[in-house]
Amino acid sequence: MSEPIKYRLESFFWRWAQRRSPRASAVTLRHRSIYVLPSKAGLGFFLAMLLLWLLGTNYQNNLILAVSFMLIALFLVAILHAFRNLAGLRVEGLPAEPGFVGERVELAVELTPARGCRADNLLLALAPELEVRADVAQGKRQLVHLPLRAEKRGWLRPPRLLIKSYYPLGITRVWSWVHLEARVLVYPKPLPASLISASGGGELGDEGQRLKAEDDFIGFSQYQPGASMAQVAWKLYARGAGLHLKQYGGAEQESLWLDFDAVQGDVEQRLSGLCFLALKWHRQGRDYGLKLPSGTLNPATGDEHLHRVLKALALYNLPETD
Amino acid sequence: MRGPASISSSALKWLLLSQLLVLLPLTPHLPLWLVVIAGAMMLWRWQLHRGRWFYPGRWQRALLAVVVSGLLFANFRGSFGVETMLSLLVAGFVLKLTELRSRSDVYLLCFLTYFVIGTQLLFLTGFLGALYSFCCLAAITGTLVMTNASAGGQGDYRPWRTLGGLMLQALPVMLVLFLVVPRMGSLWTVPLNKSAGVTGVSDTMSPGDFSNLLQSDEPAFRVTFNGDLPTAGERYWRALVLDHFDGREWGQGLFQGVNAGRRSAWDQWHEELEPLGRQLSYEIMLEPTAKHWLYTLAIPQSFDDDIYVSRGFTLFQRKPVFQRKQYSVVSALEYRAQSSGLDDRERRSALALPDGYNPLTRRLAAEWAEQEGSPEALIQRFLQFVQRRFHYTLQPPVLGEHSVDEFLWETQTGFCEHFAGSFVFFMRAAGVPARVVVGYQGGQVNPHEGYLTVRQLDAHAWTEVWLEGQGWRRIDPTAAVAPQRIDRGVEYSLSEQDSALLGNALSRRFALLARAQLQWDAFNYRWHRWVMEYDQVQQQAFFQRLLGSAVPWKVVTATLAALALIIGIILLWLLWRRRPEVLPAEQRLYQRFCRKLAKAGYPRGTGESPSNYARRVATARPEHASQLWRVAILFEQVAYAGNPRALPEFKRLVRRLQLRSGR
Repeated sequence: MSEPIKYRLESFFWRWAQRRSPRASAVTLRHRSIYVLPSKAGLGFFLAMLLLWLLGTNYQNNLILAVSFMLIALFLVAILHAFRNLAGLRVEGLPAEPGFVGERVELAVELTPARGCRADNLLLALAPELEVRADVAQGKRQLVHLPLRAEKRGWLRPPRLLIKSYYPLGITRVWSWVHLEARVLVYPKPLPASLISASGGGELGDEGQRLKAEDDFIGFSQYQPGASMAQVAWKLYARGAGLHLKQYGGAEQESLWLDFDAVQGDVEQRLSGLCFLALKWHRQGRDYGLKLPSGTLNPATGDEHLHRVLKALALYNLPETD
Repeated sequence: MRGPASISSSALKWLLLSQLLVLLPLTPHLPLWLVVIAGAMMLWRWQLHRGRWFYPGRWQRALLAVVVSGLLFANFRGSFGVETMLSLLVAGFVLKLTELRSRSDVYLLCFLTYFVIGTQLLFLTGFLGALYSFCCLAAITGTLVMTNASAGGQGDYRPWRTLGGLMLQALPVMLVLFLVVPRMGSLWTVPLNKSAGVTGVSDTMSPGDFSNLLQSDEPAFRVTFNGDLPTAGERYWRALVLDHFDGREWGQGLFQGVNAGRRSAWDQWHEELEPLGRQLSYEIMLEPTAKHWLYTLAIPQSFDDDIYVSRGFTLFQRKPVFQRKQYSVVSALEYRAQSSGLDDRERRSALALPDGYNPLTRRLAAEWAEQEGSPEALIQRFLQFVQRRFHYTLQPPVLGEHSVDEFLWETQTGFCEHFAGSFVFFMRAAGVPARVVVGYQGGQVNPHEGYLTVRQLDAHAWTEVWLEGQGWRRIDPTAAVAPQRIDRGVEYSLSEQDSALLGNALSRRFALLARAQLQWDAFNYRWHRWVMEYDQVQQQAFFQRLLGSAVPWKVVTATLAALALIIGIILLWLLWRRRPEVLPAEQRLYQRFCRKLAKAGYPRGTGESPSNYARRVATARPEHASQLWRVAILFEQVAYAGNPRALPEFKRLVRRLQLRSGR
């Protein structure tokens, strides 16, 4: 009986909190979305205050009472300072680097303090155990990378960001929930896989042998932006000859296809396998294309191509495709 | 790398420093071994932090805990008082220091230290003590600030500023709370184990006791008179009546004891007292004595409710005076006490003498009594005898077994206790009921505040004899030998060599020092009167003065208003620096222009230049094109070309511009 009520109360609370701080790409913390309560240490502080009051009352000693009043006063003032520390802080989500499922991706957030202010001892967390500490100096911006566990491929929308601080005395906990309009692309988890010949007959030969054959070095070509770093002829570059690319493969160099139908397993396993192969071929600097039931990407090389391929794999069959 | 929960170096420094500050004034109230262990632990913790010494293992820590607890137990053996509590607290700190690892440990220690400041204030009640405790409080708060300071901010001035800001802003809030929070009576009694260093008149008197007191210049109490001050000869502050003599020492007999609480109280005192003539009303602020008895002029007529009267017409309270106590008394300086006669038991105790002591005095007293006839004549003869033959000195020769015999008939030099004790012995031997009274005699008028300060060196002993038809009468044999003692004070009645032994020897030599001392005493008096003694009564009076009446809703409203005002000022101060920039006139005008256009349905795009904006709106509203262009050009001239002469026209244009909404 109590479970649903608790659940409903909680969800009501979060809806309320969300209304007070709606999702946006940049959020400035205002009094509407800043909360202050005593921290755990604050309760200890209260206890000390209470004991002092008892001591002062019992011995009818005004000075001891004054100390206990001073503690109350400090607590009140600490609340104001804690609020000031967070108020006016601007939080902006920046474009984030994609990552793979099972890794930690990092959401980049830029913090800008209010005019003429600084923000001390901030703790930012997207998940309770992944806290990051930040201090923002007056008139400066501070870039913070917030770790986030990627569990599913596709666009990862960060959960509400908790920004809290125990500044100035550790007895107050001031915090705010920020719903940042940001997203991180999560690629499928690369899992070793091999291609089955598209024509249906067995595996695509002994891949190791083919690779050896393709590893035959045939010459250098002019560097093109976006080419794989692995293809760069570093020795040549070191001699001062400029950037060149090593060409492998020879005459039978042909485009490879990441074919959704040519890997085994369910959809996710296939996507993981294709992801693995894409990374591998990219490392080897080879031409490859992507064939998914939803569309085709023509063979090419380079980091951008890799990103396009991985993005297509990440978003395959998901409602949000851009 | 340090985790977020670890302790920064500066926080540890502050923690150890503030603990040292807090412990220093408490050392006289702690067992020596605990002080030594605490000091060693702090040193060790610091060395540990510097990487010099090692972290103790679990066994070592357990051993330390056992040793400390054992020593504590052995030290106090179940007696529980403030000093026991204090030792427990300090022991707690010391043991916690050995396992200080994380931030929450620092918090715990800080809160513990806050509490220890409270106990510190049980002993430090003067203004300077309070100031010191305030510094301790700031140091602990500083530790908390350091613990929460930004990582890069260590070693710079910013945490200091934060601390200063916090303390200064908290002060007015504290003052408001101090003034308005209601005071309650004490809830339970935890005695101070022993008030170290408290000196004062004691409930026994033997030769040599008073000369010790005279070495102290400390105030015993201060008196404010509502009206005239009594003359110097009338300033006899009675504390105790000593009626039992064991041959060496005078003490309280069964009859006069005041240590039995309410049982010592005498209910019929009113019937036995007949006040005559002038009455004096005054307030006494007594320094803590850890004793039951209070001081008054003879004889108290009316006084506060929690005070009782003993058989000797002295005042006392049930609980020892551990905190400074203020009480008001009305005394009758002339009176007849128990003039109708003494009851048998009292008479017997006022005549009792130990057997086998001072045979010579006994014999001579009987002879003199026979020769003189009346007790008054006998007293006169004795006083004349003393006046002619005796010397008043702080350094009397040591007396043997028959101390009264030796003093009266051989050495004939002594201090007030010799005179008083011998006189009573002599009178009793002659069959006249007599008793010793101890207290203070004299007092110095403070020229700044008009009150009287009575110091330890004013301690005095005199006597009372019971005369038929007159009751108890004060006789001071010291006045006979050294009248200056009574008229001007003890420092004027002694030889130069003796008075060098007095507690105020230094200030008597230097007038400037004496004046400073008087001023300081006046300040301390005001501090005690207005700060330490601020209680329910004064609080009500304060509300009356401030609000006209002390109705609760008025008080609560005024309090909330005061707090809101303070907090508002603090917030204003905190947020003042983030107020929006004040823009130059042309920018404000241009913003007004943009608002006008926006109202008409043409908001300015982000990053749109004034000329682009004007062009866009002009194409939509050609009828205003020339005005819009003119505004854009003028704005650019004023803002970018720095041409202030274009400003008036720009202003006029912006004001005049009227765009109807819609297209």
